[in-house]
Amino acid sequence: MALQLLLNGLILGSIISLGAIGLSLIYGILNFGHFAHGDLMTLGAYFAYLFTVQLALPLPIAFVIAALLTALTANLLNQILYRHLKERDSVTIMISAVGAALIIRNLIQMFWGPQLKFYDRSIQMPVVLFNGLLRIKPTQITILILSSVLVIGVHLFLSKTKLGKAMRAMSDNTALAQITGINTQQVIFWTWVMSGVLTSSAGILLAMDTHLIPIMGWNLLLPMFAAVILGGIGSPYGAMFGGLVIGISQELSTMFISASYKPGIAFAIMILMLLIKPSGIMGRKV
Amino acid sequence: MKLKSKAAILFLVFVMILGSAGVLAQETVKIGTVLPITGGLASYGQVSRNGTLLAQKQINENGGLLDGLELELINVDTQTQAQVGVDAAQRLVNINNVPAIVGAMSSGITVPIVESVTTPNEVVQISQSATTPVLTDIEDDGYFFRTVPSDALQGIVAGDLAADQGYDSISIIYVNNDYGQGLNDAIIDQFEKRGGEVAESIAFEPSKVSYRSELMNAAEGNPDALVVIAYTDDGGITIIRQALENGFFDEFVFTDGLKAPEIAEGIEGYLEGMYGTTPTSLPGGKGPQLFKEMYMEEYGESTPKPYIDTAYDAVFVLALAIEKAGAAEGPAIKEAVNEILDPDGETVNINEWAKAKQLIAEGKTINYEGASGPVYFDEVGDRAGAIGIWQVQDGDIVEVDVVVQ
Amino acid sequence: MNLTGILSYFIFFLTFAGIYAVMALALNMQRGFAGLFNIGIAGFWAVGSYTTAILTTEPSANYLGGFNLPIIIGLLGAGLISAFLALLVGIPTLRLREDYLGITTIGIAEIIRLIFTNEAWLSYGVRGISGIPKPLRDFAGKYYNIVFLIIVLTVIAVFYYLSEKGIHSPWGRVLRAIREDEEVAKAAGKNVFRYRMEALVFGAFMMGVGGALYAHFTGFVSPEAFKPMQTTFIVWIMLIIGGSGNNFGVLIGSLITWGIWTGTEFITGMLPAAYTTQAATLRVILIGVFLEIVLLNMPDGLFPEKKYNKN
Repeated sequence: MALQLLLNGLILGSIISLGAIGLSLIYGILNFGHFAHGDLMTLGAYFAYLFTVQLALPLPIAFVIAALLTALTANLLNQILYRHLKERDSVTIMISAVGAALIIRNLIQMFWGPQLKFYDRSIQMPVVLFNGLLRIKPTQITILILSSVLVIGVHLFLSKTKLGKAMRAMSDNTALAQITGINTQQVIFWTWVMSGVLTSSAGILLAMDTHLIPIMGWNLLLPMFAAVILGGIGSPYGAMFGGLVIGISQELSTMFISASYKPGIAFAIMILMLLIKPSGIMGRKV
Repeated sequence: MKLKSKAAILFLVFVMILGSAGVLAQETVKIGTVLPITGGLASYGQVSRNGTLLAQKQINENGGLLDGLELELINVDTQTQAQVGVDAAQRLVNINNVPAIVGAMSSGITVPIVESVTTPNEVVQISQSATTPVLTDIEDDGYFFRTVPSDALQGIVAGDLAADQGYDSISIIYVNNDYGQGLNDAIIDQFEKRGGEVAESIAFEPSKVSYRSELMNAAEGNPDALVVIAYTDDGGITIIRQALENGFFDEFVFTDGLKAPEIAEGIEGYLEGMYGTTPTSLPGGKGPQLFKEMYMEEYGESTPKPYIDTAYDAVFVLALAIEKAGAAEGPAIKEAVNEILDPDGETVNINEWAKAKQLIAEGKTINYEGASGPVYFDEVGDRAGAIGIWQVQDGDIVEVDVVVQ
Repeated sequence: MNLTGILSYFIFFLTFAGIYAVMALALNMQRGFAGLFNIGIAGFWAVGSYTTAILTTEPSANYLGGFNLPIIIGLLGAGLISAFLALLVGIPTLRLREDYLGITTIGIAEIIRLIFTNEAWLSYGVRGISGIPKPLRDFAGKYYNIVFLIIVLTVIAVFYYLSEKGIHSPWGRVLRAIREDEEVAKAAGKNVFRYRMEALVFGAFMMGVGGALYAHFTGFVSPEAFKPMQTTFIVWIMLIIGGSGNNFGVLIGSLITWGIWTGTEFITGMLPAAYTTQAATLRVILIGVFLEIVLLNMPDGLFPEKKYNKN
């Protein structure tokens, strides 16, 4: 049972991680908590639904189009809203993000309705391993592979490319990065693109594993924030790690407490972290 | 005062006028309907509403109420949430001054409306679908009725159904509210009486992304089958799929909340031959057949879900009572409901409103052959009924048997 | 419908707007004066509603209590428990940057919902608590709604008075100084943590009382009552439109926002029944867009914060 829970946790954790990376970078570079991140995730999943189910394109192609459209939406949010509120206090930007979250979620519900949706209405039988101790669906294997590929891609981008390095530098210390002549507008643009692509992918993977529902991303917002705080605000690697920890602890917790309180685990870890080391495992001072 | 504040106040006045415009209307006899148009039970609520509208049409096209007044139905959406439902019912009573309400859909919303809204305000309430046994004993001063039988019976039939399938042990997963709890208790009772063993009985919260943890617990001890007490969109579909996908269960017994073709969509093969239960009309009488034809003519489809017929009957019964009472006032309607319905009275079919009006004018009592079979209530406002057994066949829902109390 | 109908509608409208105005005054204490980012208003609301439900209902085997206490005790108890909760939330977060409070309040609102949903011994789970008594019901008879409105207005008056009094006192000046520049306040030897905590706790007290008023008005509470984001968001809009930091503005903001919110219901109500689902979401979209427009174009709201003397 523990093995099975560990696997479920790993899958949930990878999904949280993908979302948390972007959330953490936005936090580091633009200095505010992006409360619409969960709903961007939902949007990505529904874009993919539009292309793969409603327009009957193959899922991989829908995946890419959805990621690009979500990246575009993320940049639109920044252009229309956040950019203009930068001079005001961060609470104003954040409440604007909360507003954006509500708008996105309700637009989704308006266009696609509140009912459950599936990319594929048929179901898959699991592969049984270790004498029935572990059951894994083919989709879940795909999810693990895809999220690993994405994480490795992020790593290569952040460590090898000039843009990626600039991103990390800016996330680490915005003022310093500006002095060293980094093109901040460009970095900000690409940060939104990357966050959009990653969070959209997370949403699609989540929907592949289960189903689509307008509230799906919002439900993951708190675990994502917990992952960001655990890993340290502004640290993409911290966010990856934090996401896995949160996902696995949520699933394993069901061995000890009622499954109903699973969402509370992310919260408990977050509060613990705030009390002990608010800067997170890999973060700078707050 | 600055221009901006003046503009604000003007705007405020405008908004208020706009708001009050909605409450201006001509004189009619109003009945409120409290149904879920959105939320987990939306697909049931929408068609139940069709049932109420059909009854309204029948009444208004055949003489209306009292001295030729139109029957007006004011529907408010509960969003399948108790709080929204109570607030909405509150508004029907306070603002629209309705003397009677049809609804709510689920027991979880019906109970608080009876306790907090209709009983204290002396408003008659008839639910077309709230099945929990709790409502039998509720303190309602006689204001609450239902056109659907209590789940005490459905639980027995579902328990028997599981035993008849040859299952020695089952697990139950139920939606955590009055409906789920009531059925769960009744099924456990009956299944154990038949010598079976209930391995686990687990409550679940609606609308979660994953129910794997709950299912993992339910599957402990390898029971033969899973009894699912749920609504389709609130988690029922997810539970069935995840139970299959993860190999937790491959045999199921369903209850009325899942009597919808959606549950089998895409997984027809896995669910072929599975059984479920649902409250249904008493056999006999022309009502059910007439209603099917009437519904087909108006909406171009057969009645796909339960509680459309009982919704029709709820409105019809209220109309009979208002006609009998001679006034649209709660206490009078309450008395009239009990007086007018009489198994030994003159028979009235669902398409005979004009005849009913005539009979009432003559002071006669009525044996109403409702859309869901003959309708009359016992002293606590409950209705005798029957439980139907349905089966998934080729991805469709087919009624295969009826068990009478 | 006749004049009485319209009148009773207005009373109903004002009562709800009034309960929200209590929330908005409370948020103004937290955000307007102290700069705190609370987006878990629904959580404090729920705690207030349930506390009074448990304290004032008849004894029941289904949930904790009821203790059948007078309604005034219920209101005070609701405020106190909610304030205590704020204290717990404040401890790990108020020394840190403002976002942490925001994230934590979302979390706490969710946990509270989970507790009221799952702990049946406490709250009767999803079934909720019904039969919450109505103040002066027997005395008021058919004028009950007017009496309740007067009670709500009284609560608003008391909180308004206390809030104004507080903000014009030395305590209020320090609070604003901290909001404007934390470092300067620290340098002046002010205990920033303490002042923030006080604002958070006072605000939460008011929210608790507001939640209790709601419970007595509807007579029923269930975990679903507190749609976390929608409720919280509407209160924020009231604050922003009225003018963060201006108590009077916030009251007007509450009326306007509630008017728009109710107005959108009538507008969307004119859509055919088939579009009901869309209509419900359209309302939220409209109010969301409205907020963004106000944020972008009217940063200080209709009634900007008064300039206070700096000494």
